[in-house]
Amino acid sequence: MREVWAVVRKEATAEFREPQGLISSATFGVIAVVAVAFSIANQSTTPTVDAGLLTVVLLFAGMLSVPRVYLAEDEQRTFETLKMVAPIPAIYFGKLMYAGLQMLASGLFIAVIFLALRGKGIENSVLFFMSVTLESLTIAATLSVAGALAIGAPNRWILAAVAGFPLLLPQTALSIGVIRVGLGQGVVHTAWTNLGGLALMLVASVALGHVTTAQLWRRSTQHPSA
Amino acid sequence: MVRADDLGKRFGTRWVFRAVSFCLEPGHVLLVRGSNGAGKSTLLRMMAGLWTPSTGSITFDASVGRTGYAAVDQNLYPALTVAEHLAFTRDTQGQTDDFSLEQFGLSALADRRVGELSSGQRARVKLATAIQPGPGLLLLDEPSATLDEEGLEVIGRLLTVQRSRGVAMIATNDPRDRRFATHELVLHA
Repeated sequence: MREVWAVVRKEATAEFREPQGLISSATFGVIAVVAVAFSIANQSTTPTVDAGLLTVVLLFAGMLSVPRVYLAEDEQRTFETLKMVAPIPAIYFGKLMYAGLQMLASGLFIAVIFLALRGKGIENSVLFFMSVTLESLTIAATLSVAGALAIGAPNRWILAAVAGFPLLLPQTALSIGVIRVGLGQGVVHTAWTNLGGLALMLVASVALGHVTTAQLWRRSTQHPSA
Repeated sequence: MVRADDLGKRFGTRWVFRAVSFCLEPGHVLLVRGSNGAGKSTLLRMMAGLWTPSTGSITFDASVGRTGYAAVDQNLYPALTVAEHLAFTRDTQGQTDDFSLEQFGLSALADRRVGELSSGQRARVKLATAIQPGPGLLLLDEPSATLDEEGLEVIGRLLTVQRSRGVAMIATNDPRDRRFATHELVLHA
């Protein structure tokens, strides 16, 4: 666990000292939410439409920030240094944890602004915030798989998109299914089922990332005890 | 202790080298030299496990444990300070002892960001990072390329310590580095 926290600390220190990724993600999140709020102002949009818009903003905020946690290593050419000093699971889980915390903060921030600008109440705040939390973490886990696969690959953006698409599509549908109930449309029982689906997507993405990185990032002469 | 058998590396259809074999016993320092493109750095990257050999095999005794690697083209995290960088390396390797910056001439630079250091100072940080885990195998690629005489003395002291706990390989064409070696391997392009 100490090794994992060391990676989290390293990511946070590097990001806050050179916060291009944070700034671009926060700027996108605020502008996107404000733009969406203006476009639906004084219109009677359904909770399902609102849920779709919020989910799309969350997703794209994640696409701006999460892969950067991985691809910055490629750009700075530091990934080999990292592989030489840190165990592979610590690298993956450290980066995943940092990406998750960053995405969770962005997600809740975006959701609060969205609610404030939308100007309508929430029907079920527990479901709403649980779904935003779980959706944010699942986005971080899914895009982490894509980012981890893409490190070092010559055509990394294509690879990241191909890996991310089949994972992001079902979780987006599940997320909309829960958030819309939180906003007041749909059946609560179905929302809990969708929330369970999102949780399963989260677990599956984390496990997939762990197994994939253990094989992809492994050093060929790494001693088992090292 | 560390054994390479019939190693070869090919990029596409071009062989960088073929049929390289050696065996390193405790206390050995193998100096690898050869003209540009002969595969010195490639060989060290293969020993570090960063690249896979096209042919042959590398075997380590269980006693080798960790591998330390420092290369002239290796990058560090520019936003971290020297002390943070070494603390990061210490923590990711599960170590608890504080690391002496003194022996690398880095004490005065502890709070400076790595991105603000000269190439010679960065080379010392890389050396410190490589040696920190107490590796059984130490791999140094062009270690003296950016170092002054004082830096070379640091390498000399490190290699003396390294010989008492394992083996080392140095890829270089700098004649000043030959004094550190117990054996030499020449690669031909």
